[in-house]
Amino acid sequence: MRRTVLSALALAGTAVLIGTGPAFADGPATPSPVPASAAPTTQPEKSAEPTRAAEPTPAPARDEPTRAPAEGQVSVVPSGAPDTGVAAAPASGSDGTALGAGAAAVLALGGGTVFVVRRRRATGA
Amino acid sequence: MARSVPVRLLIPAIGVDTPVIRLGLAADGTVQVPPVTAHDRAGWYRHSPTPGETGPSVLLGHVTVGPYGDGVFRHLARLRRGERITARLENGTAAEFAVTAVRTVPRTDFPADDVYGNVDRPELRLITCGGARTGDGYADNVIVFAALSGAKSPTPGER
Repeated sequence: MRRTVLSALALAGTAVLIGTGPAFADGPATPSPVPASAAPTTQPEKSAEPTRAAEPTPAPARDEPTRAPAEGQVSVVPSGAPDTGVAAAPASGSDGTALGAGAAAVLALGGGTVFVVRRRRATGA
Repeated sequence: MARSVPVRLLIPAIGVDTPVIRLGLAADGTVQVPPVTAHDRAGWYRHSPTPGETGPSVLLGHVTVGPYGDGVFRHLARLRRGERITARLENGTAAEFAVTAVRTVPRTDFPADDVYGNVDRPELRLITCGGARTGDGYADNVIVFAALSGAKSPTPGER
């Protein structure tokens, strides 16, 4: 009987010990939330990310100087050749030519008539 | 020289003394040209450097203006190497250039790189038409290339 009680007590003790064992094991496990305190450390990392996000701002700044040479000293190059000559009305020029030709024809006709008339008078016709 | 837009152009060798207007791009992407009027003027292409700035400053003028007769750049092709061109600027200074080359090129083969391409000093390009007549226009372009030879500070009464 005594043995049974003793062994029961011993069992209970070990049970308690075993029970408390995990309790201790849990204890240190709770510090694992301490990583939760590491979570804040990850937070700063996150907060560091925004500083990386700020990198895009320098990026366009890098773009601008590269764009400038690409644009060139003439920022917009026109297409084709400039049309910088409106010829002085060729139509009026051809009119002039036509007038001249007409005048020449009239003169030639007149001259011819005078020549024929003189010839006829000379021959007594 | 500091950036300042040209207001007057003088080429004593061919009797040019003209106000300078500003020109941009036409709707078809070609460069605008001065209006066809009795009192023809030269124009500065506003997307090019101002005279005296590093780069090719481009000015244009007509060779003839239809019913109004001769354009402001009528005798541009007569210019010779070394002749002087002065661009008076809005800030009162003047950029002095010396002709380095005069080229007559077919309009169908316009040398855009030579005219608008980057250069390492202040230069000037004067452009007009020339060569044989084609309908109401011309077959060629006359281009005068010039390089900066000096700068003048403002003189009282000289604008």
